[in-house]
Amino acid sequence: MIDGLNSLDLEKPDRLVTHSWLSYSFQRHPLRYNARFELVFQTANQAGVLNPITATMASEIEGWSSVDSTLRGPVESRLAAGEHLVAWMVSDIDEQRQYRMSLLALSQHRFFCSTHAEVRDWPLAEIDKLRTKDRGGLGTLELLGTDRRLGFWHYTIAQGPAALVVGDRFEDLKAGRDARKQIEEDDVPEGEESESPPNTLALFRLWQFARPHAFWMFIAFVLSLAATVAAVETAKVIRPLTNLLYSYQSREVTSLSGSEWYLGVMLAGAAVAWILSWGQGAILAWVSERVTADLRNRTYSHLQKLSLEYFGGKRTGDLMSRISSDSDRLTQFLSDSIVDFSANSILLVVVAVALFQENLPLAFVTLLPFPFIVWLMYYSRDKLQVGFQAGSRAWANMTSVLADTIPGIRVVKAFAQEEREIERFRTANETVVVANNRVNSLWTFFWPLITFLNALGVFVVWAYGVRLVLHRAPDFDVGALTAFVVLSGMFYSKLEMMSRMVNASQRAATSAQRIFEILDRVSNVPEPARPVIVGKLRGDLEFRHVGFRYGNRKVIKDFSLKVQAGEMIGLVGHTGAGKSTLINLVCRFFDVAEGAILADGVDIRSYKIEQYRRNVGIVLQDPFLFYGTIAENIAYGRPEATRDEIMNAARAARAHEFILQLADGYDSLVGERGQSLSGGERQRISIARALLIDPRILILDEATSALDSTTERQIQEALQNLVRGRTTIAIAHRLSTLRQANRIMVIERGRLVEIGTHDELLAIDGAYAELHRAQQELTRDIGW
Amino acid sequence: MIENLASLNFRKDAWGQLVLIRPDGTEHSGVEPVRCFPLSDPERSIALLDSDGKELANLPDLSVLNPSARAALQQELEEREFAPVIQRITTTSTPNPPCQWQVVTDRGTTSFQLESEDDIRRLGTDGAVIADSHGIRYKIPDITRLDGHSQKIIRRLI
Repeated sequence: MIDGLNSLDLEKPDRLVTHSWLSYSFQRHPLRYNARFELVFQTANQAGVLNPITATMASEIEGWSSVDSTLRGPVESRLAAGEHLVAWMVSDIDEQRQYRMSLLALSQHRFFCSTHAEVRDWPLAEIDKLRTKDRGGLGTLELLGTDRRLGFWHYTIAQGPAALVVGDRFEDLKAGRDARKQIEEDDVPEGEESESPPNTLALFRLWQFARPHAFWMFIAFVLSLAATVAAVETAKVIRPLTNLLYSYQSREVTSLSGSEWYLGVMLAGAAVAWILSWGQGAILAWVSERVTADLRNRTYSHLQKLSLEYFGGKRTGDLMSRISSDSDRLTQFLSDSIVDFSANSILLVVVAVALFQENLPLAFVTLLPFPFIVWLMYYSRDKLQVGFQAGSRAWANMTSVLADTIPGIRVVKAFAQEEREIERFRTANETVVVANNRVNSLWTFFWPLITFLNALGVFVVWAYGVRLVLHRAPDFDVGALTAFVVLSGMFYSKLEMMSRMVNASQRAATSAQRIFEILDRVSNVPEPARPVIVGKLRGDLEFRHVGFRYGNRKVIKDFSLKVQAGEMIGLVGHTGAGKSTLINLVCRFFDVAEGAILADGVDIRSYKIEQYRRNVGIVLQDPFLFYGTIAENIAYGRPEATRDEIMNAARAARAHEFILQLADGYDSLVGERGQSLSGGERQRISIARALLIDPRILILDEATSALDSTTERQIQEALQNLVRGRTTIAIAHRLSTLRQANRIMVIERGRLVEIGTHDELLAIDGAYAELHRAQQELTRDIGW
Repeated sequence: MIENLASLNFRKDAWGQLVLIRPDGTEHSGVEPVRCFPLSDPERSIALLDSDGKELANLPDLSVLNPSARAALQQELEEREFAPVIQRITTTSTPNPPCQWQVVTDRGTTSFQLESEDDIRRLGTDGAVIADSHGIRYKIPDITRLDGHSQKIIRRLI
């Protein structure tokens, strides 16, 4: 089955589209379609005349053999001699919109549809067009004849790339053209492999953060063990001491000599246990602080590297609560509970051993309630986990209300909605109470029950001991019973502490899981596996059949454009036409879904993100100033810049003078809690910021649209300095701001519809001319 | 905007496109019906857009149409909507997102990737809408009517 296409290039002098081989890649679900071809071709001297060309190709069409053979077989058997498939896709939803597979395939002569029931085919001559649509996650491929629709098939978005390939191959066949003539190594650069998240309990995964401190943890463990042994060994003097006292009281012996020794051992044991557990506690407290601090750092740095898409779908409050309060809970757990838990579980074992050494049958009886308690702990654990998750979520919800309304306080006040926001917070707070109450009612039930069972354990010892004494069992005396009671009391009190720890550990597990959820997230903008090293770019930019979608909305479609280094391109179009998306793609805030963006002839996904972004400067409509001095804000992209460089940038950005008017000059604090600056002033600072990094590619995203005309003029001057000698892409609503642009492109619904100079576009009298007229009228009417 | 809604008519052309016939007989082909509140109030406010996305009419609900037009529009709406109703959640790869869900829907069994618990949206008191990583929406009209296992899975996430 090979992919042969005997045709030649008859590329029309198309303004917009240069045909090249497409590669498709979806970052989340790598779905590649990149068969390779070696082609020898001849160019036609006259459009429309087809010359046969030789084509040698890679063997089978990719992925074909993975298709269910009951679908694939009938198609294969229908192929005539010399006929081979060019593209295929799976339609996974049938006409009644039920999940059912059918196979659609395209050969150089026919279009096939194979369902489990039948195979149908249509000669290409009868087909006028293949149209793909998608809406609400449901894609539709329509087979259109010249006078009617021949058929249609649905598919889920996962099949989208394959559907686009089918559509493109069809176009190529229809046009008698070989779109693959420009095989310019458009392989999608491979992203760094990220290991899939290990599917183990979140708490155990904390170990990777604890490992660097393994030595100290081991020391703590040894100390804990020693403390436990000391406590148990001390208990061993109870039996002889009690028996001595008993004998003295029943006048069997006349002196209490030896009791001093026993008392001394008890005191020393207690002192040793104290010193040891002190050391162990101190060490573990220190380690746990360190571990959670590392965890916080790692989470935050991971968060910084995630793509903008992640932040778009997350609530700030939720992220903040994960990094702050969830990690705090972990610290508490690690320092308090882990200490106790390890100590107690060792103690349980040691005590159990001691019990068995003392008296085997009695030890069995003593430990009778133990399995039941463990089962109860295990059972409640699961219930508690769900409860704690709900609690954390409710808490995050509450923080989200804060993160939402505090920055938006102006809107709240302007619309007099304080009461409503108070109510919203109250509701969120109430959810926290309800969620916590549910957990509380759960463990307030389990806990006394476990306490009761523990008491029962001690009671059993007494009862059985009384019975042994009653029957005058050999090798059993009141001293042995007392020692047993003390030991079993120790055992069950520790078990009770451990059962409380179930609570703490579940809370911690929930927190750990919420943090690991961030850490497990893979960036949609991956670092390249084999990065191309780049210092300063020249600034050539090329968009090659770029496509992008947000969810299921296709915002950029087959966008192709070449921009020379140093050229300024104006970007015009209605709101929502895809201008900002295009810019986000250039900045690599997102990665293209289809096609590629090339800088200096190399796919931008091949560069290290950091190196690439150093070449890109951006001035946004509403610039963000961080809390800090003006100088720091200007030098944000290049903190090592000298004071002179900062001032020069500010001068070029026309910001120098107004900065000097401020009381503290360049040392004035701005940003949140800082000096308030006007929109134009902040804009000029952000222009200076972009100037300072001396980017080869400059992006102006409506840099002047929020300003009045006087300020705009000043900014325009500043921008002229910025634009000079750099590849610039400028979005503007006001066309007047694009006077200096070499070319202006008009985007409508994600497609490039017009491109040319201002005069050329007016001459075409199309979309641009219309926008221009509309703005002139507006200027006349409202005197802009 | 078209006023006399009761006298609107529809037909499908040979291309499978919906054609709106105005009372005066003029036709708009490629008309798209769009529910304005697809989640909160799907049956009310249905907009009819022309092929450029301009609103031709806004139906308060389908009952304003004559019976044949209503049937035609109802069918068109059904054909263009794809929101499987989850009847049972068979398995989840891990209890917490991101995870893969195996579900039984009214349109057959399927599996999808749930990226985050934020992709589960509550609808009313007992309903939920889940958006998968591709943006396909799955509906659960009433969580309480699911079986215990499915309820448990979803409840811990909302």
